Amino acid sequence: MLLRRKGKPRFSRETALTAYPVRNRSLEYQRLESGELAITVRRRSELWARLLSKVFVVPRQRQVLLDEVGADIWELCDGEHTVRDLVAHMARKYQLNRKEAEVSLTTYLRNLGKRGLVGFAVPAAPKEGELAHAKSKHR
Amino acid sequence: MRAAIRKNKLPADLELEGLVGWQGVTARTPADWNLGALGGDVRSGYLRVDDEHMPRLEIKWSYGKVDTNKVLTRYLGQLGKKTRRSSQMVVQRDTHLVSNRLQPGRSLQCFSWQGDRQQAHGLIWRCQGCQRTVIAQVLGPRQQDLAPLARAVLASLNDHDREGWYTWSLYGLAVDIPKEYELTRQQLMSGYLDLQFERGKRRLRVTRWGMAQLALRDRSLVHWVEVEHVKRRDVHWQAHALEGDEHPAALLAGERRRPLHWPRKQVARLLRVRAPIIFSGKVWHCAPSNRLFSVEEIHAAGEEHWPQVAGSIRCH
Repeated sequence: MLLRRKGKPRFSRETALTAYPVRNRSLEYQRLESGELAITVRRRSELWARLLSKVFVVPRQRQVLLDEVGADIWELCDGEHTVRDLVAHMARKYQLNRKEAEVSLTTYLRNLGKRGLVGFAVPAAPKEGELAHAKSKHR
Repeated sequence: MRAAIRKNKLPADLELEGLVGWQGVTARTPADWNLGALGGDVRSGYLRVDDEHMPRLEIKWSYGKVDTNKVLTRYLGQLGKKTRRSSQMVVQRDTHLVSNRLQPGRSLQCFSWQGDRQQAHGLIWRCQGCQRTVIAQVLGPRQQDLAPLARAVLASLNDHDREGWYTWSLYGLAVDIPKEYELTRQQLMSGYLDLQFERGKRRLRVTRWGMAQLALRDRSLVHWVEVEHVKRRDVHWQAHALEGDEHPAALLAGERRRPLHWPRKQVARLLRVRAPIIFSGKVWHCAPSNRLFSVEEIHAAGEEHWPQVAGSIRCH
């Protein structure tokens, strides 16, 4: 029981659309003249990471290059726009069908999330009974 | 209930600007409804259309002798089983949502159901002409006044060809394809739609790319086509800029690539057989919609359909 892995949180589509993507603040990024965006991911500085990097020859830093569309979305991952806002922005700017924009954007954000480049702030749902309690208090 | 539905006139602001069309079944929908799921083929299949929040239209079709009454009884029975815990489930048959006059030549039966959270209005018919059975329902939240919308959508439902042409429509791409051509391959990706049809050795392919400005960058359309098709091995082809078209366009011309092509071509010429070996088509860039379109065909001499197919696409 103790060794059981903590399951990944599962969100409904509606919850995912209301989530706020937030860039990883420890990363540095820079817009290039070509319109692309380069993200610099530095190696971890803990002792174990330094030791492992000596054994497996891990470079001090690596770069992730985002294309123009990806860069545009990256800049909007500021914690102030929901995924739904980003879908609307993308559909409007690139004249995509809303469904097309949603599919490509959610796939892209999921990939960024898997690589630890962005996180998602999900609005907390009221706990079960909380509303009922509030109601009874109000009475 | 019947009286209530009859009283529900179509609101003036209810415009069905969207069109969904697949395997010969078409329906008008609100503009923000999009294809959500697909399955099957022309013989029997399924189609689901979603809005931003939930599934809104489901259509199933099949050919063959079917007792629509039994099918509907079975469907509504299953629906009852699925939600048996719910005491709120209300099912009605013969609701007369859509008049038989709107769908002539079909034995039509309408139904509706209402659950805890959702409701639906639907119909089932079997066409006397083409023997296709279609069951369709428009879904909505329980609180919504769904009947006028459902009536409009279901009345627009059609499963017949238009003078030998089927309309295929998804994600804003609507194109007419000859009825005899069968869909053999589809790629529905964001920013890229590709539909391939075949009739024997004749092939017809319709492709749409989104974000055209990013794809083209500073290249000419012909250059882009050359880069895009550089790895093609099925045809020998060339692209030429087409002057005087509404959009910047390129014409594709060539021949099918096959083993012993030249001798086979000469034999066909001697025997006066018109083999489908000609490759032709058109690619164009629609700046207003920021999209690239391509229609290409492998056909026999004098049997090309691509000009009509390309002409049927309303790109902006």
